[in-house]
Amino acid sequence: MTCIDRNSLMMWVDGELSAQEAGKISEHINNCAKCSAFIETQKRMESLWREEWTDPSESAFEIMRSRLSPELPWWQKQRTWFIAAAVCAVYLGVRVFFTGNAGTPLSEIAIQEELQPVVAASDVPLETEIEEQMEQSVIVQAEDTDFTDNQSVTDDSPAGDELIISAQEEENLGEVSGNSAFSDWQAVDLTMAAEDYAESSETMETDRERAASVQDQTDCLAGTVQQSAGAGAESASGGGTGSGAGGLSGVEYSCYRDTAGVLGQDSSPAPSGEAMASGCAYSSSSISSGYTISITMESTEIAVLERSDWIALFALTDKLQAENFYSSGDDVVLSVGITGAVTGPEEINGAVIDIPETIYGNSTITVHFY
Amino acid sequence: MIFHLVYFLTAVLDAGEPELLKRAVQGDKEAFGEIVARYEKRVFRVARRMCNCDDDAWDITQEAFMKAMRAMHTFNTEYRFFTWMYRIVTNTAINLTRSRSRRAEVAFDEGYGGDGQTVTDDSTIQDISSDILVDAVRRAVLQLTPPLRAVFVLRVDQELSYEEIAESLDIATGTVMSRLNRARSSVKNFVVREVGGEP
Repeated sequence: MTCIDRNSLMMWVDGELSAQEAGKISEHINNCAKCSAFIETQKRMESLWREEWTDPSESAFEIMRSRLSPELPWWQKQRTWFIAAAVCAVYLGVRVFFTGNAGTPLSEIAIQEELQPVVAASDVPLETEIEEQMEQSVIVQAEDTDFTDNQSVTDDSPAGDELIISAQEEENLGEVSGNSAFSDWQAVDLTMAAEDYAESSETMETDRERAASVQDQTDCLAGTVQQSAGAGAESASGGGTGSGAGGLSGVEYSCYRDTAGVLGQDSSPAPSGEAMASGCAYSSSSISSGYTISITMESTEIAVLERSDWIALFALTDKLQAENFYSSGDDVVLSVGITGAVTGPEEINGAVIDIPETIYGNSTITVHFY
Repeated sequence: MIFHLVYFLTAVLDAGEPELLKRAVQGDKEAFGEIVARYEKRVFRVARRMCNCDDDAWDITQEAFMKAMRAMHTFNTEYRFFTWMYRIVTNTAINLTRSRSRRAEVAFDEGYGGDGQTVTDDSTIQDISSDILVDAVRRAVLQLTPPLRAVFVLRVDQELSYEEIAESLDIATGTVMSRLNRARSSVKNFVVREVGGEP
């Protein structure tokens, strides 16, 4: 059998032959090991060489374009950036068009959406967690000369259960305190036990450290801040009413979990950490006025807070700021809400604690006592 | 959603080439800039294959586009732009290569021609590892004379048809076939020699 000339074989490989010629060569190749080997060798060499290639970076081409002509439009010289900017602009435009909201960080929206099913499905774990946390004691230490011994807490939450808060005076190690004195009100020491934060997530580690370092920096709107020496730790217990002496010492306080709270849908008593965070210690019928505490997180990061972590927000005493006073008659109503870019004000009345599980950087946490 | 936006923008940016060419011929620099963006990778690749040097390749690419921009008003939009561009870049590369390297070019071997005889041992090449083989081919291509290299690059790397190569280099199709045959033969013989086989 006579082999086919190599030129014709390569033309066959290149697809440059007519169908009739190609058919003849194909038939020959199937029966000729020599020609078949020649073609395979040639293909291998050429394909290896062709595929051995890596395109230069886009920036290299941009440099070339910039050198090519100074008269070329800028967006063609910087094509990559132009396309990226155009994509962002169109996306924002579409977003504003459909949602009318371009100011809320995308991450917040995404997380809020993700939170919905999580919250709804968190009933059983929450109850378990609450039961565990009920065993913990909370140190609430305050110094308030205007507090009366007999202070009651009005329970406006029909489904709420009591949370007994006990404070231990001798356990003041690692406390973070902020003492706010107001013109027509009392100086209040907000003392938080660092031991309650011990099991907090790492995301709050920085906040705790900051809080510990700024105990003396608290500067409230309506008064001064005094660092608490830990006097007046009280043991809060019982429900609905309580009694205290010497500031908050000895006063019984109660705090209730919102049945429809963010993490709620249960009537379990709030964990000790929450109680502290929400300032249950200040929920006293003797207080005829309230105030608002705003906490602004400087970090733009998102912090996912466990319930035990939430209290750590209040350790940001350098950011505590009294904004308003309220009077609510004899009833003391506590509400905790978030304002700002997260969910808007969510005031929950009636000794109800609405504990946000997730808080975002640059958000403002507002706690109303009234 | 982002994907669709990118797709949409890409579609918008990828306006029809004939319209772009018409605008470029009329002196529209934006249109020419778009053409540059479309062809720059291919042009650079040809330049790089021709000279095997990044710096020279960038010089060739830039010079080729500058030549194209200056001559854009002479381009006949009824012809294919890419063959016109390939002609510019290969000629630029050939001129640059010749001006920078006057080394003796290896005479190509008529390794296989019309007589159906092979002078290489295919089994030798088949047994070579890919790394060694591709290195040998790379060096073999550089040993080709620029005209042969241009044909080899346009066919093997750019996978142009013989007709497109002829149009790009402004030569006859028969010339393309003969040059390609000689280039392939030379490359293969060089590789066989390099890897220890008998050519």
